[in-house]
Amino acid sequence: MSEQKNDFELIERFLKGDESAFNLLVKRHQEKIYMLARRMLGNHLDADEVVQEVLMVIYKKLNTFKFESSFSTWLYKITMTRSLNFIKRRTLKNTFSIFELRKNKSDESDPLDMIEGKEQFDIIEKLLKKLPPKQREIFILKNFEEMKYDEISEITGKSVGALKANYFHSINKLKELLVKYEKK
Amino acid sequence: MKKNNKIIDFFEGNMNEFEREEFLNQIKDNSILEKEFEDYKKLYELLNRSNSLKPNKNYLDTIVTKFRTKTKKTSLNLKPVFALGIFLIFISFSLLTYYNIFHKGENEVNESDIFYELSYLETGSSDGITLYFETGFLDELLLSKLDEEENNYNPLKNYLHFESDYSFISENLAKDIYNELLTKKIL
Repeated sequence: MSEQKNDFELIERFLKGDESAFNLLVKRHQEKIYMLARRMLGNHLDADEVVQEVLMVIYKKLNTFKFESSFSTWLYKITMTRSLNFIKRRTLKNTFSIFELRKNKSDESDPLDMIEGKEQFDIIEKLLKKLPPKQREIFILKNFEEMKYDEISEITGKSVGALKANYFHSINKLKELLVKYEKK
Repeated sequence: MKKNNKIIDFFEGNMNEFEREEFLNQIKDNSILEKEFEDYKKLYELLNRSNSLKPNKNYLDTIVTKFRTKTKKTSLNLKPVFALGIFLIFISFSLLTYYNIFHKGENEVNESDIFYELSYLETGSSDGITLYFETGFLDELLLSKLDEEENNYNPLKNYLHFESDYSFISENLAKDIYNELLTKKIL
């Protein structure tokens, strides 16, 4: 609750013209935004692009934020929408192989490299990529963000029943994919 | 599928202590279920290990800086373009206004202007008259005057040089005078 209060204070400060309040707000949530985007998109470069898009949206639309829901929920919603849009754009781009060159040209290093547990993360990243984006979204919010179904429902707009079915389905699918991966 | 859902419930913490114990006992008696349970266990262990992963601090520190540089660039790119647009609109508006003020009625010619210009022609200056030749207005004026003369022909008028005097004589009287002059062979 105090976290939410701090967020609200920073938002109010920013809306009154204090730019530094926006920086503080971003610093509080940047890790969450990045990890959400990273898990949704499966690589650093795309996740980094989406993080910047999300910040731009927040910067421009913060005046439309209603202080009724938590800032985190609002943030999750924006990040997930941006990630899903990015996946759509990427699918279109990938039909033209020329756009794939962008990834190879970049020399930006992965911020998750050299961190313990990276191998496990890579396996999960590979498996998650095989889930349909909408199902991936539900799985990430439930499993990694440890959100309740009604909170996820607020973000995705799906009923709790549909979310439960989707979550169980994605767990079963991931288990199958992991078995296949280990056999390889 | 129901058994799988039970395994998921077990790992998701949706079972109470009694349900958990009962489920674990079921697994011991069922090798297929036990195998399934082990596969799910691996998945949950993997998820738990990757869950605690965090990006390095160096990257996180660049996020805001990168965003601020981007917004600065955007605002710098937009401002000159906007200013240039406003400037061009202002210049266009000024030129149009200037043109309208100083060239208003340039091609509109009236009779008094013609006579004014003709007076210049008589005195030797004919700069302005060329305009009336170009517009064809003089031709039109001449033709209309000729038509008028033809329609209102009065032979006496040719011999009376003072129009002010002529205006006092009625048309019938003028004709009589003219006939009388003819019979007396003055003309």
